[in-house]
Amino acid sequence: MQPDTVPRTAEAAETDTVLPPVTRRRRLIQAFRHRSLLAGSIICLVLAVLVLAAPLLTSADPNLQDPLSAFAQPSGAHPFGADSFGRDLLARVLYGGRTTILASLSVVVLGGVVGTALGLVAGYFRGAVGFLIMRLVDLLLAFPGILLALAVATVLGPGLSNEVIAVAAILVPVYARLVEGATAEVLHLPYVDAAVTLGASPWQIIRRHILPNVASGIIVLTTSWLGIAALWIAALSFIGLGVQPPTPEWGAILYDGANYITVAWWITVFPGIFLALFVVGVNLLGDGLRDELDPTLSRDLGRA
Amino acid sequence: MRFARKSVPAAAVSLLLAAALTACGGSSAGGAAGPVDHNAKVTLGWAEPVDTLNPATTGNRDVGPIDANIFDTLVWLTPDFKVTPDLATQWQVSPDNKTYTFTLRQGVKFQDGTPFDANAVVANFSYITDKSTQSNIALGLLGPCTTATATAQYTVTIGCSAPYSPLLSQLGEPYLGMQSPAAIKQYGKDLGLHPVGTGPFSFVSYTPNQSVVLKRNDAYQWAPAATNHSGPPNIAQLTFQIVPTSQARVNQFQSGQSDFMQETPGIFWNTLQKSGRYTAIRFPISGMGIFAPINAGSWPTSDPAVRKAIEYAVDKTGAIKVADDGVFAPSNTPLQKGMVGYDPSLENEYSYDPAKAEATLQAGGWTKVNGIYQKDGKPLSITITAISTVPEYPLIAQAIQGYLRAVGMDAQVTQLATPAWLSANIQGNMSLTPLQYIAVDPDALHLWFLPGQYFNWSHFTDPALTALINQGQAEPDQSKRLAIYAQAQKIIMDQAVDMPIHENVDLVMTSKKLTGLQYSGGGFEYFGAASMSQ
Amino acid sequence: MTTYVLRRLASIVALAFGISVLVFLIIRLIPGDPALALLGTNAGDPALVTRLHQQLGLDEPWPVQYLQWIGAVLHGDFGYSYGNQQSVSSLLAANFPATIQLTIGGLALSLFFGSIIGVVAALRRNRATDTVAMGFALTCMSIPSFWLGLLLILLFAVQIPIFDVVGGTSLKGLVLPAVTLALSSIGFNARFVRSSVINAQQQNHVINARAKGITAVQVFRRHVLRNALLPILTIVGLQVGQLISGVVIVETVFSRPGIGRLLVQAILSKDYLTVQAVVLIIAVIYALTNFIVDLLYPVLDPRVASR
Repeated sequence: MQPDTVPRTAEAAETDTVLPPVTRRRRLIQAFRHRSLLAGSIICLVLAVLVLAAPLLTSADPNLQDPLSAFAQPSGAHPFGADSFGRDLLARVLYGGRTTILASLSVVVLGGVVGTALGLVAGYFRGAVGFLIMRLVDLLLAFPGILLALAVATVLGPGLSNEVIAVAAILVPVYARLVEGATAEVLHLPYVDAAVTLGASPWQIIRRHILPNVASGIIVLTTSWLGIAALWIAALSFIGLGVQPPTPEWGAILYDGANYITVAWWITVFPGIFLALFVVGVNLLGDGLRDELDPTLSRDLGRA
Repeated sequence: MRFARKSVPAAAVSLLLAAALTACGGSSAGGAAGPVDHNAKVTLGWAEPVDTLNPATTGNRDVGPIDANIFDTLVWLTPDFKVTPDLATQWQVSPDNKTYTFTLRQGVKFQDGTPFDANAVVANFSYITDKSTQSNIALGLLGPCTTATATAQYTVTIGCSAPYSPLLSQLGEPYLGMQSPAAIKQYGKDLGLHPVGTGPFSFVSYTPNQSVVLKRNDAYQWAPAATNHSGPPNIAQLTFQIVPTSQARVNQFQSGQSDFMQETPGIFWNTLQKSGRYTAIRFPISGMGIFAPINAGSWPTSDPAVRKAIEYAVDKTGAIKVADDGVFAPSNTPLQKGMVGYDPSLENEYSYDPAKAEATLQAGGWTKVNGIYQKDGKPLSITITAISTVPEYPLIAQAIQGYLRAVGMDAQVTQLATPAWLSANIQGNMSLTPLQYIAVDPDALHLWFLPGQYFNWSHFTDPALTALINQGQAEPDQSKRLAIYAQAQKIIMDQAVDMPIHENVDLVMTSKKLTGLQYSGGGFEYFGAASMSQ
Repeated sequence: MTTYVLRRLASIVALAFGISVLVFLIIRLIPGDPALALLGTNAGDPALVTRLHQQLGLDEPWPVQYLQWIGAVLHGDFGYSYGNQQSVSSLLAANFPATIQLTIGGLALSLFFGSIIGVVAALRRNRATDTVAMGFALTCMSIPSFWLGLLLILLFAVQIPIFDVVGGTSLKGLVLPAVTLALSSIGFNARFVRSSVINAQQQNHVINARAKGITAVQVFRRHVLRNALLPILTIVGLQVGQLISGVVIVETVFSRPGIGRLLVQAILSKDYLTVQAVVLIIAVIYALTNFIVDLLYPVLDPRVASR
């Protein structure tokens, strides 16, 4: 559950310095990169298909209570077993994946959009507003993520959308920092400077020059944070601040099972495997993308 | 919190039960019991965090049993609610029922050496009623009886501004345990970190979120007669280890790291019992059981048809099965079985009948559209609030939700942390909420069903009910009280402003070596007469 | 150098001030009146509620409340926790040791195993060992820590009862929580160390040394390790912050006493002063650790000092 940021600095430095002597080795690295990109894509794709095809894979209603099946062991009738309510766990895990994945995507989109906007404003206009934004960003970055998420989730009250906002709050400063730095750099480029002098509007500058330059950095950040977002969403549900019952969600199912783990391991084990697989897949994808896209930009991520 | 937490014991209904308890403790089957170990150190897996050990200011049910072993009370309330001598040897009630005169036991000393006498009782009453004391349960238990006067060294008079029949039983709750006046004076706000009583165990240490350690009070010679034990306890040390996660508590117990576990989750209760390796004890908790006030103050439960439909729609046995693996008996009456005021005639007022639930709704003018009932174009949406931090309530709430949805009510569960949960219920932003309330006297009803009461979460007022409850509080005659509370409960159930869910029982598992466990009325575990075999 | 230190210290003070304002505001936005929960069955008495509000200082306007609080904090007084009925300082004193024990345990494990895996992967770069090591690192980073904690409990609770599964601050009780806490950092560190070592190997003086015929082991010890370990210092600073997040979960899963659980409880029960104190202290510890790391840098690497 940690922002995977620092290694990027070093990996990026590595790509810079692994220079001419060995092109053979470089090819190997290339292959490895593609391998992780490929593996990541396959894992994510398979999971996406599984959760989207949930109605085809199981006819069970994930929320249907059946006292007679309470704690049913994995069997033909319930391939993943059943929980204390007798609800089919396969159905809950598959439908729960929709919740978790959708929520994680929402987190990076929301956090990304707000953070990027703040970063652009701070980087482009600077001045008092920019200063204020960046000091706030510093503050939020020094605030342990879990505290921020816990506090925001408690303030807003329970529920999936509030949970998304809470986790996105951790992400906003990370994006803002990245985009602000990149924006400031781009503004110093002579041709951008010239465009500004020639009277191009801020929106034009941002759209034509700045966004294309920060895009790859944002994409890389987004992939690497998608997995972290999924872990956060699950963690908050696990503390009881997430989705409201009976909506299935991987973290919430794990929480359901936590109190029965020695008598009904399946409630805890299956959603955990799916969650871990999803994060592995997204991380592999992120690693691959990071190496493929501009590695120098990703160095800035290290500061986040 | 006493009303909010899932927890423990209280009133053993009958002597029969008390006897059964002694039997299973005393002669532990299998002959595991060897000679008594007088150096025994007993570890207890305790379910709830401690807010404070100060009996006057604690709001936690689970602090009660810890305090019951550090402090003695004026009277000892037996599991079947008989008021028997403890620190007071005898008492008289004045003809107007407003003055109680207690004769105190002599030769009793607090654990710090301070002698116990009438002035000590007066100091405790002043402390509890003092404006700067953050008094909690204790203050409520005194009711209108807030003045104490020492009339002789060992005679104390307690005065009430109005007749208050619950007083004597409530004086036996550990929240009214007598604290050392010297400690009250010395420690001020930090009194909870230095509890000093006259009880069988004295305080050693308290580490928040971790443990409370007590050791034998070797000077203890005044055990209540009703416990059939004299002299200091056999157990040398008690360690209450605070383990809120139920699975962790079970692991701790099963791996032998504790000798006692409270609030055993249902499924483990069943499996551990089958193993035959432990002693299983059910402590019935008196009061209102696990129940849900139904909000008559806001739509849609302001409609009596909806409230009654809810009562019919929920299969309590099924709900208990999914939430607690079926270990509890369903409850159908506001005051619990075994408690003073229990009325068996209400048992069958509502029985599980989904067809009748729907018929009641239809008779009330509700029509089913796309599987959900609606009236005047508004869907029948029910909000169930539940405390998020105690696992049992969200489970019960989900089970109720399942049954309500099954008959065509659109039920939603909202899990909230305690402060938010309280304000939602007080403001009436919910239809019902599952909870517990623990009490030793039927007067418990007044907190929940009198107008203007903070806990009137049914948001319900009925002049006849109000009159009955007030009458019951002042009535000294027990049989007349029973008749009054029977009528009051009939109104509550007829109006369907309370859905009793299941009995409140603390499921305790102990090592077979631990015997002689007792409890006072209200369900407070007492280790003064217990022993561990070698 | 002195100016630099002073400037950094000033920025830490500014940060602490900002954090104190932020946490003060956030905790007040949480819905619900803590006094009602504290009063329990007496909450129906408006006089008692008003009195408790006064005792809690909640009847004052926010700026006054803030100034009173921060003024007291500057004198070392964190106030009184009504929820726990003791001073916040004594609560902190009771809870910090267990958390420090856990954090140090976790940090030690993650640095130790992270470094070993990272160095091995770097030395076997692009071979099967490397792939396996990096796959392992990635898996470590992807496994939800609370899930891992549960699995460890499942495995060691009843099946193989060699470690204590509950509470205690004994060494036996520390193992499982520390492993759970360390896991994702192990993955993170392994990747970082691998990159640092590879980076160091590519530097000219190392390549020269190798060309001079010095044995690989000597090169590794004299040049590579020294250069690679420097950046690792940075992650210690970063990880203190991350471990704190992990501590909240681990303490909950393992029912351990500590700051994380104290904080969750305090947030959920709206125990203002406890939340404010814990968050402030954590933020300051985090800022100070990073500051110290920055100060150590030039000591260990003369090139930085000369800048």
